[in-house]
Amino acid sequence: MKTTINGQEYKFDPRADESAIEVLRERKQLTGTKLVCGAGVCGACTVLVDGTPMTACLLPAHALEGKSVQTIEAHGPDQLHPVQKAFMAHDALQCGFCTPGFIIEAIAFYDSWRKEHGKKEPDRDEVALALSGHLCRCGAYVGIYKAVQRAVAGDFDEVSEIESPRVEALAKVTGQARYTADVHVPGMLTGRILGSKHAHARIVRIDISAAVAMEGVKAVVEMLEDKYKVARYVGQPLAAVAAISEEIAAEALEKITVEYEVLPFVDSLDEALKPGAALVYPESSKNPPNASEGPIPPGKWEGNLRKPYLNLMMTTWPGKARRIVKEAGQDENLVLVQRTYRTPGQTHTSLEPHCAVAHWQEGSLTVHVSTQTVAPLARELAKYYKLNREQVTVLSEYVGGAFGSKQGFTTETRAAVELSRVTKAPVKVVYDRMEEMTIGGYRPLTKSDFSIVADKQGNLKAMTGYFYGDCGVAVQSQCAPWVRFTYTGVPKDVKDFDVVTNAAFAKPFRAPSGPASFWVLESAMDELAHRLGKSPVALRRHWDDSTIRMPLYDWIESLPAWQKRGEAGASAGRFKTGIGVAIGNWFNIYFSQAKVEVATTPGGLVVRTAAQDMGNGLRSVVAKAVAEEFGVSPLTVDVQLGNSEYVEGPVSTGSRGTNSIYQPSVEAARKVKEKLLANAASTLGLKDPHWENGGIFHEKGFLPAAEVFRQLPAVSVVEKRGGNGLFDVLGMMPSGELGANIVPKMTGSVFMAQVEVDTLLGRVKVQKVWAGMANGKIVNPELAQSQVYGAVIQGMGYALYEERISDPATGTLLTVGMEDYRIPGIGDIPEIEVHFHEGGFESVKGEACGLSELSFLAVAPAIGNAVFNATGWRPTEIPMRPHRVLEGLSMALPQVQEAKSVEY
Amino acid sequence: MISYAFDYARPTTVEDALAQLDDDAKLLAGGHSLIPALKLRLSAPAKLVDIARIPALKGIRQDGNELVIGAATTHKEILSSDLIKEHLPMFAEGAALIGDPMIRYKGTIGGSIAHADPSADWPAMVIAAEGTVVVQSKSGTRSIAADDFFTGFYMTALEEGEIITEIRFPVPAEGTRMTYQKFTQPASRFAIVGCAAVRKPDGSARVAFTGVSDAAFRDTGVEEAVGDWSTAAIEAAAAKTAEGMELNVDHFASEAYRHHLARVYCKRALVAISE
Ligand SMILES: Cc1cc2nc3c(=O)[nH]c(=O)nc-3n(C[C@H](O)[C@H](O)[C@H](O)COP(=O)(O)OP(=O)(O)OC[C@H]3O[C@@H](n4cnc5c(N)ncnc54)[C@H](O)[C@@H]3O)c2cc1C
Ligand code: FES
Ligand code: FES
Repeated sequence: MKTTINGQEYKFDPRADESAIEVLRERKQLTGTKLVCGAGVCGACTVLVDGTPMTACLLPAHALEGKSVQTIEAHGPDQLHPVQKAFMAHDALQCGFCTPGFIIEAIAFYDSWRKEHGKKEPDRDEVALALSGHLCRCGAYVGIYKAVQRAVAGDFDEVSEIESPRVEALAKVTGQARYTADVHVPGMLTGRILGSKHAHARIVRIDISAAVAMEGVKAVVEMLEDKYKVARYVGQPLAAVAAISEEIAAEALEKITVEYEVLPFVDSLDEALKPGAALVYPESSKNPPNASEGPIPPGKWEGNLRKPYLNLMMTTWPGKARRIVKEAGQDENLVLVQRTYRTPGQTHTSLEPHCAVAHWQEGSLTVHVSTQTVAPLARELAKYYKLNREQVTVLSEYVGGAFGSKQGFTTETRAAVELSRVTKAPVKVVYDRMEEMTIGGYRPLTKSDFSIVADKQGNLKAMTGYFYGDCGVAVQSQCAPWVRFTYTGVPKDVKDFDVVTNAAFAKPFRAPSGPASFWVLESAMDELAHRLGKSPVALRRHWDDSTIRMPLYDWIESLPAWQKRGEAGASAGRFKTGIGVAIGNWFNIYFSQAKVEVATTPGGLVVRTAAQDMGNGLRSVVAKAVAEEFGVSPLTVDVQLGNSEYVEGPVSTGSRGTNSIYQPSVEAARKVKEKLLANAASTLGLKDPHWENGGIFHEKGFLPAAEVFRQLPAVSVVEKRGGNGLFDVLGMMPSGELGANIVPKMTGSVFMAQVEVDTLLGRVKVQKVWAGMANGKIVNPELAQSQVYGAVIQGMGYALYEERISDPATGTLLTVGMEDYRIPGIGDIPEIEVHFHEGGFESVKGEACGLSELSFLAVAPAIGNAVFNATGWRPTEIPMRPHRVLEGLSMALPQVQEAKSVEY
Repeated sequence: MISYAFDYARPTTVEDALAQLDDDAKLLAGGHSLIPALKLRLSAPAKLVDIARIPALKGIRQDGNELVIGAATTHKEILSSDLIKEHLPMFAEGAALIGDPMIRYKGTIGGSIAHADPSADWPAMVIAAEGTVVVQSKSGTRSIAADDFFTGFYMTALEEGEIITEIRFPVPAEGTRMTYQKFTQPASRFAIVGCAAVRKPDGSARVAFTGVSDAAFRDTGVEEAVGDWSTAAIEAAAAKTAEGMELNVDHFASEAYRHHLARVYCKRALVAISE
């Protein structure tokens, strides 16, 4: 069979059941085309077939016969299309995994639009329609709109040199960035995992003989890690297979027979707490996984409930708090808000699934893995397999999204390593979308009973909060800390309880537990302000114990949209608009042991650190820090990350990247420069050398940087971050390693949202979000802004759309595909205005703190408070899906019932 | 997510296709419903017979007093057709609401009605426009009225060994008005509720729904109640939507919410064509 791929004829003989994406990715190694959902929903696999965009995942290979296929690789660095240049210039990408698909579709749109409308700029709706078949989990949509509009309008037709704020943008827009999912090692086997069919069952026997006997099957290993041999959720890994092809591996899984003794299960928090509920851990010794980034404190089990023993950190005068809340009802001078709030399980849905390629050889273990924790993972692997640390290498050059779900020694890595250990061949394990959605991770579900009391003058008096977290079979939802550390100085009794259910375990997700805490706290706070008849901003200012947010309150109060907001429920007609505000408060973390190496080679500057860039921009932060010292373009700095052989850098969790690595990068660069100047004097005999304008000025002239690096001997400096010399608290990683230093001063945000609520259909449209951020110095403004955009978009998904749902009859997750689990698409995106108030962290080395998590916290409550302001109805449960909104509105507002019958 | 192994054939005529279509074979058109199902291993045909490129199954033409749409005509081809825009504008309107551009490039009308997803858009439109589904098998050709075609949850009146070759529609009389109104499931973009409505010059109505129940259906209760198309009559007709039927429930819409949406979209459709 013949087809043309990127202009070249290709003859091949496909299997009947082969798909076009296999031809491209596996036969041709054109890995710029990504496989994400495999179901036509996300558009990551888009290619042009005879000029028409098509999803390669649903295209049979045979359908390519006689056709001409164009992939992203047709537009390499030397033949960039204006759309690619626009994506680079407008930072229309973060992790980059969705980028090739978007670009291919946008190129087709560019052509068709130009034919019909010339260089007229398309409006946002037109772009949204054209790109409606594409999803981006990082939320790069703001840049995507801009890039497509401006490319079509002709801004990039004549441009040859493109500066992108993101140093690896070129690799990502050309499909050349190699993610773990793209790694291909000769002789590689495919590994697949067999998951439990039942939500709760004793595994009596696993018979692998038929699978082992199959031709092409190289190994079958057990995966169940439960000392009682009990599977406690659907999809829990029981065994894994390595075979010479994916088809054989899939078939082998079906040949494994598992004898289950089915046990009763509970699939929801409410069910799990009922008397007589089936127990997730009936055994006396329980060993639940940890869903948090911290250690598990001691606790006491009562059925499926795990109660904290000690809660000293979290409470201040707890007895008094309880008493004030209890008596508030009888006291004329006090106002009490008391409600139950609920938040959903939010699936990370990284576009690059969890994946690993492991190769166990005599004396060494090499693992390519999509991870946020390169260096600690290497240590963890060495410890687990009793190897020396030097024998283990972890590689993770590009990560296609993680958001907290890819930390430490995860299941796909264990499967790959175990299978490779047996076969001694490289083994690749990639979750399919169903596995990714089921066991890849999610933010815990919560139900919270919360009370807050103030006096009529607006003085905060007390809070009590009992937070029930459902992390599936895991524990540690941990909402209480954020409530404890915000609006402090009053009696508080706040506690976290874990309720285990027969569901896959939750994992940390961007600002773990923070969004649920602030949903509760900031919804209640807003309600209290309303009941007191006070401005919610003024009241927050009054309660706030940190000065960091004060300039942000000023900013919000200066906004015309805030000044002009109406009374709650005053908006008339079917479509009601409203404004809401909420704050966020976040720990300020860094890693004092973080190291970076800056070196010169004859070719230029090289920076190395065993850290990783998940799309949040660490590469660019490092490149910029070093480049600015030398006065050269960041694009000339070769930043090498994602290799555990390099000096240890920070993990990408807890928003600690910039805070950990920026300052040592600057320092190391400075020292390299000094060495170069010394060498310039000693080896080249230059007089009075000093560094200026991208090179060395000396008595006789100027030596540009490139020449300096070429002519002088190579130098290298390793620099460590070190502490701030303050009272830094040490924190722990899930592995028990010390991995974090905490700055006592927290970072802060104030967000405002404007919504339109359709009271007939229940839909909430976020029209605009104003994001006020106070997290110190902003090292790379464009990338920082992109991070905030992404957080707003994910936060909006949390507030309005996203929800894990399982089948109560079987405990099987129903939201296993991207057609069932709704993440924000390009058409959902509001206008977003980001305002950074810099400064305030002069005592922190480098003065820059993290922002990725901080920017998530206030989104949902700002939207909820805006819904209240629009309608007069107070949402307590998210996501605010249309049916929930309508039910809430009908109960709260009789006129909505009337409207239903007259409007259409 | 990898399908069972299967064979593949790409005949160029309907007769060839029929010859290939043995018991374990399945027809493949746009593949946008079938291939996802195969990947989930919900179905394990031994062979796929690809009919997407059979010229006789493609295209839109007028045949006397009928408009004929070939089964393998894509959503995109339909929404771009001048004949359709002139005579069955509801199809152009409705096809443009299916999925996203890539789905419209590949998905076919024949595949959509054969698959009979309870939330697919074509079934409601085909019923409202009084379509006749023409099918061919080794033993000959037969025609099935759209009203009788959708028999249940993913079930149709198609029998083993039959290929839909075309769908025929009477050319609507001068003055006929029609519309398709859809409330979209935002992740999959299928219809949570879709209402196709036609008003003939004599004032009679044809109204069909998709997404509401286990199969697309014609709602004669609504049709009869619309009477003189006065505001009050439309109101009363919309209130009759899906009366007495069992409605779909899923995590995007409860039964009550779906019923509410169906009434709103019914009313929207009726109002849109009332003048
Ligand atoms: C992400 C996504 C979103 C979608 N959104 C929508 C939407 O909003 N609205 C909507 O209506 N649809 C939607 N679809 C479905 C899409 O329109 C499908 O393409 C269509 O329903 C099936 O058409 P097909 O040509 O792809 O059929 P195929 O997938 O090729 O076939 C479907 C079934 O029909 C049978 N078949 C095909 N042709 C014939 C024939 N001529 N005679 C007899 N049997 C035949 C096949 O054997 C198979 O069983 C969506 C699909 C995807 C993947
Ligand atoms: S991978 Fe093909 S559409 Fe998602
Ligand atoms: S940049 Fe789009 S998914 Fe990461």
